Amino acid sequence: MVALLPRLRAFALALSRSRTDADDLVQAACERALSSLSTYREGTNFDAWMMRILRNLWIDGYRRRKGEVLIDITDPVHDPVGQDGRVATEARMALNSVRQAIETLPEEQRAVLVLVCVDGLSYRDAAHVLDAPIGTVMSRLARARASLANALEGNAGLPLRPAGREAAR
Amino acid sequence: MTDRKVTDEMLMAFVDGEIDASTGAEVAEAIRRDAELARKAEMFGRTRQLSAGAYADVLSEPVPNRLLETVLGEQPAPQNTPRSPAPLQAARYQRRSAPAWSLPLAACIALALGLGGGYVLRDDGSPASPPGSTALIEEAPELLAALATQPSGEARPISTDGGAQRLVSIVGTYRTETGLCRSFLITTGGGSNGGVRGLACNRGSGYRIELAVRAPAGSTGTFTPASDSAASAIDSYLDALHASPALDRQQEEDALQNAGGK
Repeated sequence: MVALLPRLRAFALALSRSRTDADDLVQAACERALSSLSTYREGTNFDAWMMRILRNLWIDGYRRRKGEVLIDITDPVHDPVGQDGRVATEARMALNSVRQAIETLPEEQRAVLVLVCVDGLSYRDAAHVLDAPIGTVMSRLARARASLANALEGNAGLPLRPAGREAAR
Repeated sequence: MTDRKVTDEMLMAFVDGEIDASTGAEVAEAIRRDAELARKAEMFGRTRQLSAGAYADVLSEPVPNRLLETVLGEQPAPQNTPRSPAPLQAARYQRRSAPAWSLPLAACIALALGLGGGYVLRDDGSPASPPGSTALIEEAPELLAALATQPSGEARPISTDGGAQRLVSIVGTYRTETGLCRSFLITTGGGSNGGVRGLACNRGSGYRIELAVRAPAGSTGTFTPASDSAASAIDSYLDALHASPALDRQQEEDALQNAGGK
């Protein structure tokens, strides 16, 4: 669990977008996990089990307290993430700008993006964490990455085709 | 040309290595023929890379002490069924790929616990601290001698603590990119109060303790429960040092002799 702390913090930060809230969330998740270790099933992905606990805590309490609203973006309409190409640059992108762009994504897209691209979870494990079908996870992830590219580089020429449900498996 | 349309999800799964071989071959062929698909594939790869980089500071910075204390401090004994015991020599440690964040994390753990090098653990007398759990205060020639010569898997007395005998067990020996490292376990009074797990490395001028973590009671016998986060911390540190698997008895003997023993 110690070794997982940095990744839990990154995931919590992606959800809450606040460092203080993120660490509170990680602490609560660790306490919850330690008190319910007996419910962990041997042979399953421990990382995903922890991430799921954290995410559920976020959904159940922290988010409500912050007054955030879940917007589940599953239709093919793009979220207007771009900032008029202001952050677009042909030079190396400051990582800060990338994080800012990620933070403007809808929560469900942020979550899946960080789980897969930062934490390195498989699509299947990410689906377990988010309690969503794998096709939905893939659809959100593809949309999140297209929006991110669009925001960072004014990559308007990449409209996504309507999602092919459960496409790749 | 392929028979079916390559969706964005298929393309992304191909880039992420999450696609079966036959579909992957189909997608690869489609990318080769279609510049637009190639551009999208590149976008999926680039956004993955950028996302990982965007959180690199969070992944590598020291974890706040309060989080470490939450995990390391009051961890209850595992409640599930007993696991199959691992031999002391193996120490549950197996080589894994070393994540980029593991070195700063390990350094952070050492820092958080206020540990330096070349010292041995001694109770600090604080009533809030369980016996055998706390600070490093004085040098212990016996511990340094044990690190230099004692074979893995053997427990030997190094000192006494208020009448109770303190034992050091060498758990494993590893070659790392910075020198020979040995993990050890110090227990007092049979280990019923827990103990301290540590790692000492010889970087050319004798062994110095680089990491020591309080181990929960019940985890410090010859068996190591998989949930022992003290052992996990040692593992993470070893990963960060790109350690070899634990040396066997003969390899260990040779390594100790070549390292000059002391």
